[in-house]
Amino acid sequence: MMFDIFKRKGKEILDGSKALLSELIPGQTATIKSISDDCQGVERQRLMDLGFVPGSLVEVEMRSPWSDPTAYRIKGGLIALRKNQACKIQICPVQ
Amino acid sequence: MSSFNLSSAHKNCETCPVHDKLNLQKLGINAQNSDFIVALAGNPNTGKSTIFNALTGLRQHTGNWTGKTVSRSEGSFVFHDHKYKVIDLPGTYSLISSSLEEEIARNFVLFGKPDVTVIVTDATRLERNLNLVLQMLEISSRAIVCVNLIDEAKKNGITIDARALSRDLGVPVVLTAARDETGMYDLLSAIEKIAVSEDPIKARTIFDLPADIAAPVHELEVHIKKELPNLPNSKWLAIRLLDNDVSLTEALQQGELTKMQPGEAGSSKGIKNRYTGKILEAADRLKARLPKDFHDKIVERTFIEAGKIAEKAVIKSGEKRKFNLDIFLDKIFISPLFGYPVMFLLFAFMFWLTIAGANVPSAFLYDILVGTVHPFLKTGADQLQIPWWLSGFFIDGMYLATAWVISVMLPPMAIFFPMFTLLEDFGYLPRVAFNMDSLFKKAGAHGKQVMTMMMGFGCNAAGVVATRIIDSPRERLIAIITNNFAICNGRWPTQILIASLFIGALVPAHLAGFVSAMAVVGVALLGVLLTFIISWGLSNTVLKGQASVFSLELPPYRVPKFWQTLYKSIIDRTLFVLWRAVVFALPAGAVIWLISNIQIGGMPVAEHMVDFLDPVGWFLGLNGIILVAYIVAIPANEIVIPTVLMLIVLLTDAQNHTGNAGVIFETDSIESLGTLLRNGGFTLLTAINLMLFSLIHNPCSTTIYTIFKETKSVKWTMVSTFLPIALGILVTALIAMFWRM
Repeated sequence: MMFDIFKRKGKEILDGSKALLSELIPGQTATIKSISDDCQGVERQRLMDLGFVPGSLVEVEMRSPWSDPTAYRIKGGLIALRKNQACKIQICPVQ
Repeated sequence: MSSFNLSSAHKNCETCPVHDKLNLQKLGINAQNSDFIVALAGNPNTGKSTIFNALTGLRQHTGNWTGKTVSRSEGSFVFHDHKYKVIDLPGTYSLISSSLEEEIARNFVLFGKPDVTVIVTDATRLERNLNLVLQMLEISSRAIVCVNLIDEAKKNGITIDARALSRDLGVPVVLTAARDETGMYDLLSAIEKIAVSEDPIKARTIFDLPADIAAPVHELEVHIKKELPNLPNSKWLAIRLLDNDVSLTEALQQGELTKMQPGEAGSSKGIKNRYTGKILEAADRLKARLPKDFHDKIVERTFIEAGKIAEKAVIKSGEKRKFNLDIFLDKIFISPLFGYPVMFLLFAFMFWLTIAGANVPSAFLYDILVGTVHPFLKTGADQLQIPWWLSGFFIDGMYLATAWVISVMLPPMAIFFPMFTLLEDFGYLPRVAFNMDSLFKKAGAHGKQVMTMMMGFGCNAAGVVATRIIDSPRERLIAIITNNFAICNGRWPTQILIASLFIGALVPAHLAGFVSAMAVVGVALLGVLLTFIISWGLSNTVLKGQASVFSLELPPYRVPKFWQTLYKSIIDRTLFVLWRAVVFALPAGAVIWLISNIQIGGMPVAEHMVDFLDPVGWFLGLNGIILVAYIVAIPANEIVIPTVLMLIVLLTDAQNHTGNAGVIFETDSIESLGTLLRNGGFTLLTAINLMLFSLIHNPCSTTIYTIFKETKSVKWTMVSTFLPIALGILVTALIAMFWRM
């Protein structure tokens, strides 16, 4: 059963249909697909202003010692997001 | 509103898009003495403030962290016989996300109509910066794009093709490295050229909208053009109204926008309503036809455009990543292994250096101001036969209190602030926010609160102002209320002095410096702990509610310019805070002298106060002297210790029936202060509780006033004032109780 879960999760990440920014580890790169619909208002606007718009290339640069927040390299800037924000951003992983 | 008289004043420049004096005045700018108004806009941390300094020579502090310039600063310069006023707008990522700073920046350019807007961008992050540039060009075409930090870009193998950029944007582009003034002459010339030009400058129309939104936008634009034919940015206004921009809808309703319409400056309410009604009606109707992700599409569109422009203008050469110092440094500062120890050691070292390094200069200043100048003044006063009460009031009261404040405060500040500023300019502080955010998140607060706390270590009033970098109202309020738990500069001397005299004295002499430094760090850390506890309590009770908007940019590390930093921190922080302390020390010295010399029933007022408060003091493990000192010291924490010393001297003197009451103290050296305090009844308990009470009590009056200005709420000002004092009474009373058990 455990393996099934892993397999399913792995597969999802592989075809990128449901991959989230929060699932990437430092060093990995992805393109942003969309921002989840339950992230609205000022928070959504701020993410987009910082460059988290569909099509943007994003690289995970480092994690805080307590693993949250994580710093992402996006459009030349280094932006820290909390996990509960990063999990609202859908991505397509880049190999 | 007095728009009537101004309509005539405006008549001759109706059609030219130059600055609007009335609106500028409302925005707090006096445009009377200058020929041109220049606004500086840009992303946070692009060196905008450095450009401002290079232009004006005015030393506005520029830290290497995002969102530092939270309010407007202004300065001026003269170039080729024209006088320019420069307004440094808050750094923003966008103009459409309705945060306070964005609104300030946008409204200034929109309503103030500066003659020139210089949009400062960071050459290493041009693409994201162009997002703001494109938005800015929609509301003002009298603009210059200043691509700053080209030196940093060059190091990263990036060059900028200014000509290509200028062609694509339709406005002049200037390359600068403001830190060493590269390109400043070009910038000045470009500013002059735009400022004196009378032709309306036409920037390239940027927005090429997708078909499904282009039609409604165009339709509303036609409406706006019909009602307000000369408004320069009708398409932008159409987009903003369709995007439910509250502040612009309000501006339209209140006639701000119609007033920008030439010839309509004095229009009556009826006309205003006719315009706004029709436009807003149309906007509401058209909104139904828009896709749900209208806002997203606009932002995406802007970024696509920015990407295209950046692709042509940014030339990357060489290898992308050789040895990257930033990544190396981050590996240390952010590392799970080294991150916290490095942080702790760095701050402990700073405090130790402040304590150890301040001793010699403090003693030196003390010798001069108190040992030499004071007797000289007294002798002089005696020779001139000035009455004793007059020389007592001015020389023993005001002068001595001020002399004390200077000799105790100046050296530690002159060490602490430059070190702090170096870290700030280096870019380390946002990393601390990054390391600490997890903790702040648990307490329901924002990681940026760590920055405001650190500012609070300098001055709580400054810390409260700095909370503007937190754009979520709830987290900002938490940061304001808890800022007082960061020991401010006025309290460091108390902590340091009492720790050195009482805690350091517990261990052998060679360890004393280290142990007392640790005691001060311990109290500071207790303040940090209290910050978390109170933040957690507030966010789970009275402030429970809306989610936070977290964003934190980690700027590249920048080697601080040592001498410039030193100069800056001395001018901006040290002298500023010292001046404030002196301003408060003068009247406090006078009060101290008066309560010591005015006698009621054969006893000075101060002694009555001390006697009255002694039982309360005992209960708190303190004494009446300390409590009287804290009452006198409400204007400024700096004078607590001098007042304590003066009162001890007074009470001893009163017993000996000798004169000189209200003279702050009469010791020859800082070392002998310990003896004086012990003679005044100070014990280890008194010392510990004094250190704690100094941490946990009401903010000084300047800070209270600042909190009121920032929150505009009596309720939160009261909470910020009385919560800490109640907590302080509780903590000291408990400790006293257990101590005596």
